[in-house]
Amino acid sequence: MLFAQTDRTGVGSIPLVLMVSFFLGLTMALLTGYQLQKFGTERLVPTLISIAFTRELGPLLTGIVLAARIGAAYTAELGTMQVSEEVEAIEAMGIGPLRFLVAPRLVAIASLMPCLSVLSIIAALVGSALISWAALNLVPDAYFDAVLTSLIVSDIVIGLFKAMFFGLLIGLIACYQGLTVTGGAEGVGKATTDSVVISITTVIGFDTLFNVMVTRITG
Amino acid sequence: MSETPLVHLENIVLRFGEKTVLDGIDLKVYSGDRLVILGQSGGGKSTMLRLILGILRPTTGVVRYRHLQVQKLSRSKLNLLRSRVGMVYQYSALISSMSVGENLALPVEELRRKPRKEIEELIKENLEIVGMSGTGEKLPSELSGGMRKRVSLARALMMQPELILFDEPTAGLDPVISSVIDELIIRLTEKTNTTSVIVTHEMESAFKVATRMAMLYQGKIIEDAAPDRFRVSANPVVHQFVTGTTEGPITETPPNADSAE
Repeated sequence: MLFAQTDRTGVGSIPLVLMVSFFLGLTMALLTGYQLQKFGTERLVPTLISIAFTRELGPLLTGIVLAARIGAAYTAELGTMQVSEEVEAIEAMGIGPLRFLVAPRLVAIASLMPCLSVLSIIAALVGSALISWAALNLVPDAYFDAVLTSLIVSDIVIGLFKAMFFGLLIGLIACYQGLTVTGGAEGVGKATTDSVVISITTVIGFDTLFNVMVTRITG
Repeated sequence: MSETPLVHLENIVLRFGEKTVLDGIDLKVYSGDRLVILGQSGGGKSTMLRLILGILRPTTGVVRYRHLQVQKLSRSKLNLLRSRVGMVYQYSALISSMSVGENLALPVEELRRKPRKEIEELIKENLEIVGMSGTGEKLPSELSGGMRKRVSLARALMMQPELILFDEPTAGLDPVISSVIDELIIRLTEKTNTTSVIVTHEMESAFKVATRMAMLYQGKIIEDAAPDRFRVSANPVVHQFVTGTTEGPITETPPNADSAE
């Protein structure tokens, strides 16, 4: 069960996370690069992209992608199982639904969010490096040197911790919405929409809160 | 009977908000019984099965399983009790994403942790008992309603239960398949000496299967007798239900129909 969930949550999400992050990194580099070029500071693009993605956008973007792709799937699956009495049947057999249905999903999404977040960061850096080379005349060697110089361990650790926490949040919201479905097919549809909306809003809300707290603590 | 009942629903009152679904039920199930609980649709029959399993808790009253008080059991002890009780749902409730074989293996894998080979043999044996040999690889969606019911029964048998609860086992099935299911229930309970509680409102099926019959009406058990005596009951509600006439005290669907089942 855990392996199946991990495979679907992690491996299945890789193409979408890579694609979205690659294009966002590329666009960000392009837009900021043109602005910074006016002041002759386009060499700051790698620093900006690497810090933005390791601390902020990598976990956030992965969270949004997983809330839409995996959170919705969790809610729809569990909701359908709930309305067709499958969840009750599992409970009636003496198997805890939380252990059997919820725990593998939570472990899968919470443990794979940091991994997907790393891939998201790499894809964004590659995308931004390519566009910087093509549009801003920043060669990849110089680009990645600047990235390595500007990255600090605490940024990476904070980003990975956030990713795991977001994964846990998305999993909890999705499973809760699924297991509390009432009202048949319409109820499943409503719960799935609610799950995605609440997950994305909560992730962004917690991200803001987290940033305010970290900024206060670190000064 | 002076023996200790296997299940005793003792003065059970169950309310959902303002609605009283069960109103002072007192019912005993003895080992070896094939107790059929009859009543109107939405009258609270399936709710009684959920009380026995501890899925619902009564508002007042006590549910006893042998000497155990079900609603006071810890989570682990309740799960242990549930593993000794099989439940066959009205709509089968097979896990749709799992094959028939995986559905059957599920309770044994999760609760008994037997070797794979032993589980495979048990699956084969139980599918054979219900006449579904060779369907282990199929998905529930590939089976007909009657086949799904039989697989659901096979799943319930995997843990070798001492009590099997049937929720409308023949609802929605054609008369031939209904008879197959009825005969299967009789044959199995006799062969394995299993006690069963069957909830239904189909009279033909009820009289065929039952060794005892109870009638639930307006939240109360109004008759509890052997099938022969039940058939000639002087109670006008029971008489109307048995004969299926429109003339009599039963005039409308129960007020709790939307929440009880």
